[in-house]
Amino acid sequence: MLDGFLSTIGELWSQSGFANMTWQSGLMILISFVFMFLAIKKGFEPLLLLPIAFGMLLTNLPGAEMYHPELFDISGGKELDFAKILHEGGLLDLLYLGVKLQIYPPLIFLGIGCMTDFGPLIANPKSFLLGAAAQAGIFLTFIGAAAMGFTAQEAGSIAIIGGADGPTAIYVSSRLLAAGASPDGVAFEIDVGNIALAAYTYMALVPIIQPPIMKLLTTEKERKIVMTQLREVSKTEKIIFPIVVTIVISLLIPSAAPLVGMLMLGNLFKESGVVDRLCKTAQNELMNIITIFLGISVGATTTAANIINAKFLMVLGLGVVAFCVGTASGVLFGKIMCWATKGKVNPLIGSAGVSAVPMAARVSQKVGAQYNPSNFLLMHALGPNVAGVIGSAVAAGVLLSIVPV
Amino acid sequence: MLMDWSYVFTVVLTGMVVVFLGLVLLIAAITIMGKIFEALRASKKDEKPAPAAKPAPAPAPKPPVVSSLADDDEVIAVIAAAVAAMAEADGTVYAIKSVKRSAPRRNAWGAAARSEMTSSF
Repeated sequence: MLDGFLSTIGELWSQSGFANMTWQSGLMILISFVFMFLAIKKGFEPLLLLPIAFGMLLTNLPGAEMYHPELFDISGGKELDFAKILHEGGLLDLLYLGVKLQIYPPLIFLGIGCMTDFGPLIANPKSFLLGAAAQAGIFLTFIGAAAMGFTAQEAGSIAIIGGADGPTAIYVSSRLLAAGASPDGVAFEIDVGNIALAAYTYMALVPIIQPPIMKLLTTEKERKIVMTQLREVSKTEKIIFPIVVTIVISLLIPSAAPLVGMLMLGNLFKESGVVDRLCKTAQNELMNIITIFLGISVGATTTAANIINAKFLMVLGLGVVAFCVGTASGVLFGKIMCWATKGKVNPLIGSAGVSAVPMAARVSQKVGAQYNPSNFLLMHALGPNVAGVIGSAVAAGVLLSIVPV
Repeated sequence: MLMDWSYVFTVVLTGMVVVFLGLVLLIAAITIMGKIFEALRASKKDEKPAPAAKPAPAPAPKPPVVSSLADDDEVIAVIAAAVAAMAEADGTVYAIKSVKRSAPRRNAWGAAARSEMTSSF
């Protein structure tokens, strides 16, 4: 009886996660703790970072098998077997389909549209230029990724991190990397999970990454510039704006239509004032549900094999470069606008051109207030900030149009 | 396998140009829209005095002056009450000799909201 008991205990032990724990899984679990700490204690993007961190913990617990990467393996020209995923997949596999099929990002954009006031941008349309300039980070990082030997599809996916927009990064990378290999047959070494993790990490770190660059590139005199109050924008203008943006951008870059269209639909819900219930649902319940699904399924893709490798370190390195270059080019373009308007534009609002709404605008306000406490840059920075959302969606559309899949 | 550099620079150049082009088109569209609405607002303002030309049934009172005086009186009463409360607390008698409006400043609620909005990091 004792032998039977001992052998059963031995079997249970050998099946347990403790016995199957590898150093890679252990390290990933520790990283998930760090993310949880940053979300809970430091308040860095907790709405996303916390579910991502917990998804990371779940997927790296040996034996738990919450997520099955093999179901999504499309290497060697295999096609995604949806029937197999539905029959054999678990909760996290099914939730991950929303990422894989690019369902979550446009729905998140719908909610963002419901929450965004484009008034500062309509009052000062020149802010669009700052939103465009900050996208330089995306395209310059494409060069860096190409130099490091990534394929065009991988380089496009890494570069979009510079847009500082999580849903856009997921949307672009899930489409560019969908085939599992480039048209030349080179297998991809990174996946959507890598890109999403890097993008959300840097978005959470906006308040740490941006201020040193902003201070380095501006003079104290420029940081103290007080901008004149924006004009009042009528309700009709706010209603027409989403319709105009959708038509102009979708006609110019059709592949940007899913993101820009949903963003503007949400904004039309808000500004029309006639579908209050839909607006509330899109910006609260729907947004929260999608955020949970997105966060946990992105976290689930961060298996040790996927993350602890040299390629992911390269993604992290290039991601931070993309982010810094985007911030710097926004600030430098702000300086050009400051010079062109004879000192009427504070260059600090340029850094807000890298989406990350409203965090980047808050950083502009905070840095400006450090040098002139009575300065109120927040509304001025929100213009380039929301222009950055549109700009990164346009940049995403351009990448999807010109990079072959 | 390294990408062809001419392709890389084509992507970069095309990308930046198209992003700027798209957003410049939006600037043009939004600016034109703004101008149209400014013009409409201006024409509405010009039209407004016309009905006033009709004979008015009764002489209109002067609400702005009255309300502003009433506002001032209320403000002075509030200031006097605050001073009286302070005087009662420390047992000193104060006389209010004049009340002057200071230069307009951002209000305290606005400042508090701004600080709350940006104090999370």
